[in-house]
Amino acid sequence: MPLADARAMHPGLKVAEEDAHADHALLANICDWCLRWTPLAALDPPDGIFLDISGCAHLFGGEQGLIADVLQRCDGLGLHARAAIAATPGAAWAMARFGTEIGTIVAPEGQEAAIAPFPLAALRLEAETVAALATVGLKLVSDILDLPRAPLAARFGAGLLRQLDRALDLLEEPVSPLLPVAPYVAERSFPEPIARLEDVEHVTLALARRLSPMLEHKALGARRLELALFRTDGAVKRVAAGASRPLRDPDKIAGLFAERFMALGDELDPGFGFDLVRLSALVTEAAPPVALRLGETAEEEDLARLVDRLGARLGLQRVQRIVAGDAWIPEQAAAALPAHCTAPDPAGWNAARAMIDAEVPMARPLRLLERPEPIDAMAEVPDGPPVRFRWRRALHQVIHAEGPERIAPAWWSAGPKPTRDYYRVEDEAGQRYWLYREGLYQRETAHPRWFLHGLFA
Amino acid sequence: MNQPKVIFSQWDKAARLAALRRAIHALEGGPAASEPLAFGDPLIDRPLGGGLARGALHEIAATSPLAAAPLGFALALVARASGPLVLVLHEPAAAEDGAPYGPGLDAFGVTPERLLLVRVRRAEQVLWAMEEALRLAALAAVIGEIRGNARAIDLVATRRLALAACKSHVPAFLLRAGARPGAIAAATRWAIGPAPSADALGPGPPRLEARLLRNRSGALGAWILEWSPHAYRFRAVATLSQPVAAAASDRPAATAARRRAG
Repeated sequence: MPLADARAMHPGLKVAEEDAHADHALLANICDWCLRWTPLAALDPPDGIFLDISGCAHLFGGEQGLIADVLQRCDGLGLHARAAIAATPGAAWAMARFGTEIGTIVAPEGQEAAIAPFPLAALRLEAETVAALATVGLKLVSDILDLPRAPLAARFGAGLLRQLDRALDLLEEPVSPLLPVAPYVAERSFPEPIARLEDVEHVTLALARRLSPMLEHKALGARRLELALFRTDGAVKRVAAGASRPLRDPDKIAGLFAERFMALGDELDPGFGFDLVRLSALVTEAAPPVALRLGETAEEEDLARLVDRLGARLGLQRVQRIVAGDAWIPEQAAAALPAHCTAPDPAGWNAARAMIDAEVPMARPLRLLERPEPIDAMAEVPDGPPVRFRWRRALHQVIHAEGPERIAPAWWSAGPKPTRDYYRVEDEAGQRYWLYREGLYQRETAHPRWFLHGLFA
Repeated sequence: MNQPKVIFSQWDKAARLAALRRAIHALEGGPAASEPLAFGDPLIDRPLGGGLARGALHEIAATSPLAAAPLGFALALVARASGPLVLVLHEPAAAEDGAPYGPGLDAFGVTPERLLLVRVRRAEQVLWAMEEALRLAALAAVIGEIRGNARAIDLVATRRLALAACKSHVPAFLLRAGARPGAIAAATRWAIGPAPSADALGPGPPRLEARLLRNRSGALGAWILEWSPHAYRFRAVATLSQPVAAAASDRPAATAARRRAG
């Protein structure tokens, strides 16, 4: 019906533009919320969600109880939902949309009888296929059930039979879940929602105590954990935490999340409370059961715990270890990597040391600027050390200079990168700097530029 | 073709022996945990009663706009101690003076694999991270660096740090640059700046001017110190006369203006 006609019939009609993006976002949120019933929930745009409830129904009082719970909670959120449970996604899809009741359960092996009276659109066919079938008088699913298959496929394409077979459980239909299913999960639901932070922390510890034996049984430890907090109003808060070594001690897991809660602060808005909390180990790693660790390993353990604690509060990327890079270019000779996934690397530094000690015994600055800063430098001869330079608007007189140390980019590196001549210079105040001239005079450039790269103690 | 003239000072030649000395140092082991952090020169160790106290908070202020010398001072003091080092770096400090550089630390005598670098945005987070780290008794030291004035650094917050350091017996260093001096619960307060090399040939080994402005348990003093990254010790090149007031070069212009106005 055109909008003008509708307005003529109902003058007070409210008109809203379709916003497919917002609709999809809402559907995704609902799908997220549906993870309270099963870890396997999949989007079926534009308006459907598939839940794979194999092995979950008994937790909610059987299929009857589950479907009632779904409908009641949707109603509570102000959503008008229709639900159906069937052995195949196809049959459930058809039943939810074309069935007479809001919530239907199709008995196993009962799909054929259930969907037979529905129009062919119930098989999730292309609109053209439905129209083509209608021109030859085939309108209901029952019309095609007994027809010979080969002519149907020849005339209307293989898609028609595939959809029919999927609905009737003759063909497997894969459903891709919204989130990968965590292998180890512990959860707890509450008749009365919890809202206080202490309660959430307490529940996290209780869940960690249930998760721990599962991991211990398989000799695993968690490297990445996620706590999903289902709010009564349908929002789902997810808090992730990483550990620098496989973890399964409940107190340590709870401690990690306590730091995350502190870092999140008000972001962890409980609203009217959480009614379901789920702790999952997303990434696990082998952790053989070791009862006693001696000497240094206990210290390493303490350090790893410090890394996790600092990382949980400040962000794991902010706790770093410096590792050697096998390169001469100063900014590539060392890299600060997140400590939770980096082990101390004495071998790398020994190799770097051997390279430096053996070839050029040249000093390196204690602090390296994040990127070299351009300076105005004056040199007596174009390829000599600077006599004075201006950096950050201050003029520095060079008293002592040492160098150059010539560092050329690796020949295989892309792009024209000029050679650098590094100098260690000292100004009148005694401050020592690391400067370089970019480009060899007359061979690479007529006007070499100067940069300040680091500071010596 | 014009070959650039290469000048290497005495110090660089000595670096060839570094690997050997490092091995010897590893065999000898670090100093006992109960001993104070020694400078390595009786000229400065004796007036301080053997060195700096271990389980205490030490404040190190930069006297020059750049804060390379204070970091070097703190690192040199703990270079001989065994165990991991935690360095908490305020982002403004990293932006202004750069972050600690692995090969540079190595050349300075601090093996980079010992270092755990924590980069934080706010000054109060520096204090929090330091306090967390100070709970670990196995650490060689906890060093925090803050640039600029921060209201978070007061007597109460630093008192907590001092107590944590005392409890775990781990030395804590709070480096300040570009800040007005305030009341801090530190055992010692140092003003550190670079000092010119004596070597006429070129820039020599790390050299700094250290002024001990406050000391709860001993004498004050001022020295020119030269650090030997290979021998792991400071050498007091000169003892300076005591200034009447603290060096004012690190104070922002506002302080001077206020003093004039007052």
